[in-house]
Amino acid sequence: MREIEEIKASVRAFLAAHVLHDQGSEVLADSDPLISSRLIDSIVALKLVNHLEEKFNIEFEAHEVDQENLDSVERIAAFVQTKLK
Amino acid sequence: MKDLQTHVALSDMRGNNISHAELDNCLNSFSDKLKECGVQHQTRVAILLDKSIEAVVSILTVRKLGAVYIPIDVHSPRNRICKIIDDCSPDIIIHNGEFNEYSGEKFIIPSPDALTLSVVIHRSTSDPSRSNVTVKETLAYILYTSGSTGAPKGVCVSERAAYAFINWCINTFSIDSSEQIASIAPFHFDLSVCDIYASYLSKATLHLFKPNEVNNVRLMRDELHKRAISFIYSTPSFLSALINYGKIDQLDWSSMSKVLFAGEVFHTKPLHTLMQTMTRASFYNLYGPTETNVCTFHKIEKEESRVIPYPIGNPCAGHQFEITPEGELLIGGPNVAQGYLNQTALTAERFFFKNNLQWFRTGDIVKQEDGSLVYCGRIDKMIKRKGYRIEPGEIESAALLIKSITAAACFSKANEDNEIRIFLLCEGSYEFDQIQLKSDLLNYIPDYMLPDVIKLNSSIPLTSTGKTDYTKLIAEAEYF
Repeated sequence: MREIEEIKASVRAFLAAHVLHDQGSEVLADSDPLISSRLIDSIVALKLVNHLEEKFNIEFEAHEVDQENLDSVERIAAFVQTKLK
Repeated sequence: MKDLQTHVALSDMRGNNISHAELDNCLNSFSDKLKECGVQHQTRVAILLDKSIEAVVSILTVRKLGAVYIPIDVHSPRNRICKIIDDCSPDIIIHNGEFNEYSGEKFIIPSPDALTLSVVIHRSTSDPSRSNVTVKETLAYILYTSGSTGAPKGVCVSERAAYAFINWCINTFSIDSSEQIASIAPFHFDLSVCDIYASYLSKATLHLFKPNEVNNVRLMRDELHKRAISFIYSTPSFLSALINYGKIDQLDWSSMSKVLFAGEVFHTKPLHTLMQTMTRASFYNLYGPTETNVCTFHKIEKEESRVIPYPIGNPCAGHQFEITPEGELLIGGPNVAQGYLNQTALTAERFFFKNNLQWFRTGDIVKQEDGSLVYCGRIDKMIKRKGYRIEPGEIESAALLIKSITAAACFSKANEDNEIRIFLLCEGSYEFDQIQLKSDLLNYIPDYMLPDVIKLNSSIPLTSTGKTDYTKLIAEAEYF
């Protein structure tokens, strides 16, 4: 799997486990807003950051934990990918 | 004793600092301006500002003039803000310019060159002889809390009660000018009364954090550390988030000396983790609804093997308590509020006068254990989630305002991790999904009230007397 696809799959798995419950994460488009739509609140966003750090062995700096980088599956994947370089 | 000219009174996240001497000059200038605008003793001034130096200056100036400040959450939906403003009929609204419906004069508060303190002052044109709650005492502020009928209610706190509480804070926690206080709580939450006034009166430094900054606990960890914060008064939810997601154990917390928490139960395991990380700090559990501010407290003496939550402790100096046969805690004393604005019947139900003291029926169930009071739950349906007070009735009322929703039932349940989850069941033929429903709800309720679990277009079970069967709903609810 291409790196970006692997990251997206990991994010979707996280969302399925923590947020979407009976609604499958396949319903969610890559560009659908996560934070601005209130689908995930600030605590779930922080859980997601922890998850991404552990899974991909990266570290977010404090100012990077924001809507810019976390508001959709594709934004998260793009951001994580830059951290992996 | 620090030199007042340089000792910082307020510090924000944009690099702005203002000393105590400069702050007092600001208060004098703004005072002159507000007097020109008609502010005098007991004038009602709504403060519609995000947490900022302007907000603190506005609040302190209003009080300096003996007027009443009414802090309103700028992040609340417009609809809710309007309900609050209609209810309290302020003579003046001070806002940041984003509220065009409250047009007014833009004013720059004279301040040191590096700062631009800008506000808009709206003067009400409504009839000054509006209806008033019969308030016996001079008021300091009115704080709005969730109302079960859908409209928030204003808790009127007297100047005497405010100062009793503030002096209690300063004395109990030995707050002096060396203290570095973190302002975490929003100004419409009564924890902020301690933050603003204990720092101002002790000439300590208050560090201002806005809600989006507070939510980023990685950022908060860095700031609390960098600023050598010594005093923090917040909710268990914020402190738990710091522990769970803030990676705080990577830093040294020897500056932290006093950690106060209130608003909800702090479960013992995360509390102990925090105590292990902030080893020089003393920890205090403070208890009291908005109507009493803090009325009991307990200094935590760590018990390694303790599993159940620590007590809420004993009444603050000058306060008395009673426990009804049903277990409800009643509190009497100087911190107790006067009543609810424009709600004579509700005020009479919940407040009374006895032994020369003002009393309040808290609605909290307590028991006594080893000489301390222990919190056991609520007698009514009010929910505390992340320290916020939420009436499920307010969420139901909001749902009913949405097209195609014919009935709504809202309740809470705690999961195995003791996290409160709010459930909302809607009857009707709502055409969209729960994400859209949340968006629709946000037109009426603030985001901290959003339900966690939503079930759409489901029938609500009824009891034999035709009322919503909440017991059945709670028993059958599955949480995550």
